[in-house]
Amino acid sequence: MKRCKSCGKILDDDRTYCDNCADETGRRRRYGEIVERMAERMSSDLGYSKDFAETLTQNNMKQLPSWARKGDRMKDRIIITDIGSTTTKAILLVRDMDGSRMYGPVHAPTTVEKPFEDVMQGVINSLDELQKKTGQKTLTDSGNAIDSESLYLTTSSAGGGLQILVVGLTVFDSASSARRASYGAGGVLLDVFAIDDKRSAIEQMLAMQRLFPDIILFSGGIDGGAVAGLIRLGELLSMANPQAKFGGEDKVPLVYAGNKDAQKVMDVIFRKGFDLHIVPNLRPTMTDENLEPACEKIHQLFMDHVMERAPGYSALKTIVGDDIIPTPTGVMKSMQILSETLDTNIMAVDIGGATTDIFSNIMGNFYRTVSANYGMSYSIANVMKDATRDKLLAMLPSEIDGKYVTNYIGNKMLFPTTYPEGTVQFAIERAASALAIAMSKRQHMEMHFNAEQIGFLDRFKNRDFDKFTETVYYNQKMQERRFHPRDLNVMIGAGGVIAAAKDPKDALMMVVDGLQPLGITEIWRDRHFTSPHLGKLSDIDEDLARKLLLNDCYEKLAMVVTPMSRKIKPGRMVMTVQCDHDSFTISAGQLRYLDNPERKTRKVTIELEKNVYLQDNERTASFETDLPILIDARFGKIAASEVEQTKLQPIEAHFHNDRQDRVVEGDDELTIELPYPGDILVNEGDLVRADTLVGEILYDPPHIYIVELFNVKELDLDQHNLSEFIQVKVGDKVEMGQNLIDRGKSTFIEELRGRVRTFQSPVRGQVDKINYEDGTIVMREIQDYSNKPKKIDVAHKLGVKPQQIRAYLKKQKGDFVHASEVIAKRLVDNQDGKMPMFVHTPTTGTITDVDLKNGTVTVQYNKEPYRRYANLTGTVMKVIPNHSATIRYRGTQFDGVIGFGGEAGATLHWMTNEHDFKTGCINAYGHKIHPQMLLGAKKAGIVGLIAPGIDFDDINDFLSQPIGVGLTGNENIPYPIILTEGFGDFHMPDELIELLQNASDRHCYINGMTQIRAGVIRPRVVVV
Amino acid sequence: MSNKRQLQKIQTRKNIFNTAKMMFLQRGFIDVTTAEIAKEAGVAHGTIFVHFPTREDLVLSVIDSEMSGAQEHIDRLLTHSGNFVDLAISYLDYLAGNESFHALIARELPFYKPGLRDRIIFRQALIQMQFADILKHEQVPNPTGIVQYLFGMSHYYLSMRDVFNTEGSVIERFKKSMIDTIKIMMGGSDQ
Repeated sequence: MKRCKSCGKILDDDRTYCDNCADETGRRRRYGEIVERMAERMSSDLGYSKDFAETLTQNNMKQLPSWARKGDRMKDRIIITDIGSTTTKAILLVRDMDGSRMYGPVHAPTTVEKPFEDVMQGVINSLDELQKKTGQKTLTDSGNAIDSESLYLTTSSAGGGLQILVVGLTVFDSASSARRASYGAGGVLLDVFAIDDKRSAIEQMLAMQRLFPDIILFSGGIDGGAVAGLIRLGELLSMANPQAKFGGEDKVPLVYAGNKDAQKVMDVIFRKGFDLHIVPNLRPTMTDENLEPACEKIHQLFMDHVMERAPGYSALKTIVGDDIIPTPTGVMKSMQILSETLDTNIMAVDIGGATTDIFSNIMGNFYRTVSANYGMSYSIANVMKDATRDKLLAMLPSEIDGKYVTNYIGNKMLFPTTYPEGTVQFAIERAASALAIAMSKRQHMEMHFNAEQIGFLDRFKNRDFDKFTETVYYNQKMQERRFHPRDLNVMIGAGGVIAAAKDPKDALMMVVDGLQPLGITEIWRDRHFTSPHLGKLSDIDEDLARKLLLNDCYEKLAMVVTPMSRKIKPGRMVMTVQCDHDSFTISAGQLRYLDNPERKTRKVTIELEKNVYLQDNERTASFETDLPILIDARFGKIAASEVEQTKLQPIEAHFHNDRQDRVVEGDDELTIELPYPGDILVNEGDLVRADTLVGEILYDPPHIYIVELFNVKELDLDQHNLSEFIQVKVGDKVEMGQNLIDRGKSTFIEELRGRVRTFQSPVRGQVDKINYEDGTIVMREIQDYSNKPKKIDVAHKLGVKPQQIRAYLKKQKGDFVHASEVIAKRLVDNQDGKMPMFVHTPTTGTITDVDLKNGTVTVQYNKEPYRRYANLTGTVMKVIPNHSATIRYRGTQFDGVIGFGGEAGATLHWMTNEHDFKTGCINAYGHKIHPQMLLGAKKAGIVGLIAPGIDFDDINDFLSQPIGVGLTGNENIPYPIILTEGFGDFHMPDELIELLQNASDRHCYINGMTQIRAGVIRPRVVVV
Repeated sequence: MSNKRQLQKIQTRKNIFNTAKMMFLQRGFIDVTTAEIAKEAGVAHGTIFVHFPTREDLVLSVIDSEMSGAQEHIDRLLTHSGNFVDLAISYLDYLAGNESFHALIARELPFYKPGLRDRIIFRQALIQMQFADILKHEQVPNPTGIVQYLFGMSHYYLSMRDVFNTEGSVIERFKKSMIDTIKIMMGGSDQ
């Protein structure tokens, strides 16, 4: 039976295409033409709407296996790209009679962000580069489309992979489970919010707005636990209303995987502003973890929505010859093939600038984790922070000055694209990469192996077995899962720093110190990181993919022999090695590299000493290899690396702000945004001055109350009769105790049965919403707090002596309480047993006094309002009521490299020496600042500080928390600091000195907010 | 060695596919998660995605394998007899033989995600257009109406299967009346 090659329709003769797909001469019509004709037929024959028919055909043409592109699979030329978050890498494969050749890879920047916002552009650029470099045709003659004679395939992680924002109840429990769920779904964690994360509500909301997550995972609480904290977080999140990265109009997907009792409430809070998905609690009890439903949902959402949102993705979809898969899936397929072909377990690391991915294929199963904040540029400071400064320094020769190392790390974060120079800088990077890989590997193992073991045991415990079966079954099961890290026989390193290492031995040591192999392990490196490409290729031509993977993709670095022992003394003999005709012994602490430049096959025999192991219990091991051999008997104690030359390249010459003409003069705009709705106090067209109050929020975010009426069984309400009996409407202000429901006078029988006819509001608030389907009323707290202190006579209300009240108080001095909250409770005896007595606070505020003499508690609202001043002179151009104001100003400005603390506006003062601080001013200094100056500035009461540099260690001490990822601007310090050049002994460039010196006594505005990530924000200095 | 691995890989795929198919047919395509399938099949969750890049692909390949039965059946008919009424009878016979599956699709289709839903609709549309082609070939006056009646009615009976029948095949029950109506609609010699 013959079918149309284009649409799969049955043909009754020998043609290749049917009438619909071919023109009069029998040639296949153009894609668009076929779609149009097909849609036309669906609309006329089947009655489908034309619009639907067209999209339907379009969406299906490329997916239907019988469509024409299947024929493309046989093409001799295959172009494959991997669209990463920063780089698009392209390769070309040419298949011919003699086999195949691979060209590339070449790189071009990914064009997913502004100003391009079209991934296609980066693809075309990379192919153009490939064409130029290899002379092979990859583009059409016009150069703006892919050569039609080639099959085009791609993998993609454009947009930086799956970025998840996690909200959990407590940092310790819920947030850590949510973290594991996010890793499990292959996500990158942007931030974790919890009730106890030490940030104020406003700080949390500001942070939520600054991140642009792909997905939000909301978890917390065990099933049946308290819901108040969850509701509070829900309120904050819904008011902060974070936007999706490439969102446009789309709502951010939100996965709720917390306490099931709060599901309904979450539905009410999030239904409108978010794309809400509710899945089972990922921590149903204190001891159980159920990550799978959440992982699955996140994975599904990512596939369905997030990837599709990358600008230009839909156009890309129409030109690929096969499905686009995520980059990690490409890697996974490659590893699968390797693992199968070599019949072994594999682990691979891809270390990037911001993140480090670990992949493993163990006993046929694939695992992956992303360590979002470990990397060699953007995240390098965080590597040092988490590994600790001391540990990093311990891996370097002691002659190298610690300050030099930390300044190097700090500056590498500020200037992520700067490459290391000289032996010392390479040594620092090598040490940092080993630490980053080691920490990422630990996360990988904890995530997959511990969790799985725990899960398995839980499941096992729940079965009802007798003792004997239990023992047998358990041992059997454990046997099946038995896996020891020494069974990883191939370890692969990939990513910038490993690929860039000129000396393969350097790359080898990074992988060995990072992944820490055990037993006998081959170490490879994926020089160009083409495993995503080849993984995608395996969908089309698995044999070719396998061949390229084994022969072209990897550079085999060495065979590493790492003995293991429970106890070993340094210097004790570990083994005798016979390598061809050489024989030597190795003692504990030694590291020996046997190079093999000619790649001769050598036979190695190893005899182990007592208590030393390589594989199982065998006392000898032997193998043949043509690779260099590394014998690593350090037993995990990684000593300081040796550096040939410890001459320090001056940091300040290496890292520099290479932007020309930094100082810009003219008009610019500043948008002042409130973290949640408040009052904008200016109007469009207003002139504002530095001290003009632009926006204000008087109170903390209002509480939201949800009253669930259908839960009150005695009321006997349902969605049909609710509207009949409800006493309030949207917008009403409701007092506590006011009737929400009134069913009229009850009958005698109803009274006998205890049926209730009315229901009083348990709270005071304004009605936001009434949901008739599920019987909920959403009320918002009315925030007319009084600033006057309110004395509550607790002793009198409880009927106890004044000094006794302390025993009954539920709240202490300094606690913040909301109106109607219980502040004291006493159990009193009566004929039915114990009865509780409560004292509620009538007003919202802080408990400012507990008076044991009079038995009173004083509550006063004394929180400072959140205020935003203009901080500079200008005109209000645009106002979004309750939300933001944009001010146009004229001034001279420049960007610093990093800032700390928020914004400030004051008179500028140019300091002539290091003691010349001027109170109430923004002080600018031309040279490096030091800790004494920071203290002096605090004493002098300055408003802000501008300087070229400071030592990384010194600023970390001043901030009292080391800098990790490059997101600064919210530090709690006495005054904001702007660094114009970097960490170290920098001097301010003449251009800036001239500006600041001449502007002394003029008004100056600074904003320390810095974001060194995709979408860079640098701190700003404006002189008006 | 590589051969053994290959076999094992095919085996794993088959195992996942069969487990998924069984679970889908029992519980519908919407409810069953890949995690559950993985658990049931005894493979790691990630392994599923090695063989089926997305959950949708898995669902679709199960649906495809079921529908390819229909397609082959129809293909055979199309090449062997050009008679529409015979074709319609065979189609209904085929539906009756695989009623659980088709009733499931009929019930759940509106609730599938747009991507999956469209892919299924497209497959159905291709079959329907082939039926329309036959009618056009036979120069019947109202081919669109007849095709819509056949597919629309059978879909209606399938989607509300338990309303019409407590046991046995609903299509079998209404087959005769549907065919009679089609004959009337076609007019001419077949009556």
